[in-house]
Amino acid sequence: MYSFSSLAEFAILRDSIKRELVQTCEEDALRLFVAINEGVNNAIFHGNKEDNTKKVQIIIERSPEDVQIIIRDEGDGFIKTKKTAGMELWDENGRGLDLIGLYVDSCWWNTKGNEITLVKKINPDYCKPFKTCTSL
Amino acid sequence: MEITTNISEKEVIITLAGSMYVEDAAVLREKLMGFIESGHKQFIINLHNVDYIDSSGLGVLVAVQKKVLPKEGHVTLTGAKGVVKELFELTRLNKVFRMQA
Repeated sequence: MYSFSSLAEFAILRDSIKRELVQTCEEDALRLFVAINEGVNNAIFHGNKEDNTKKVQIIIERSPEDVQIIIRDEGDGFIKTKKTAGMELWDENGRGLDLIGLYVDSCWWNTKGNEITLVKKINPDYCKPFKTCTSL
Repeated sequence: MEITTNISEKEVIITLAGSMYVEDAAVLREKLMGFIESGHKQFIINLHNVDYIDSSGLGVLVAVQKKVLPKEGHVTLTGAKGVVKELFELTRLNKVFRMQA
């Protein structure tokens, strides 16, 4: 799990997150990172409204079938509206959610709207086999 | 992200290298808007060494294009590859800019 309070703190963690994604599934790593980065930007700027007393958490979990990523902030929650549902070609803002949608297979928010779950299915043709933890 | 600038009479050539995150996009926006205020309207932005660009970076490039088009200017993007090229295609922004290999 990654936990941070500001963009500066997240910037320090980006390479670690990328490395974990490469270890999880190299072929999809950068595309998953695109989705995570957009989700985190939303959490910092729109969720926590850049309040450094509030945390953002990222949880990355791998199962045999997919990678599940949870991004949680401590803001008041996000409600998807028609305006945020789709980007217009010449819009300068508002592409983040669409980029997330383009690079994961499914995503949803919790009821409050301060936690997004992203799911990317694993392609067994090019991802390493899932290794379960084994006891020593 | 590294931002290198070459200015000629006709155009401003910006060469970017690295990953463009939200904090880099803010720097690039300030730089590009400064050139527009100085009268420049033709921009060539080399993305050959860019491995990642987020939505804020895409937004800055759109903002610049919107500023210069009414002045008969243009933003040309060169060298986009990999996920960066894919992002422009998936968002259809390859229709907004001149894209060159």
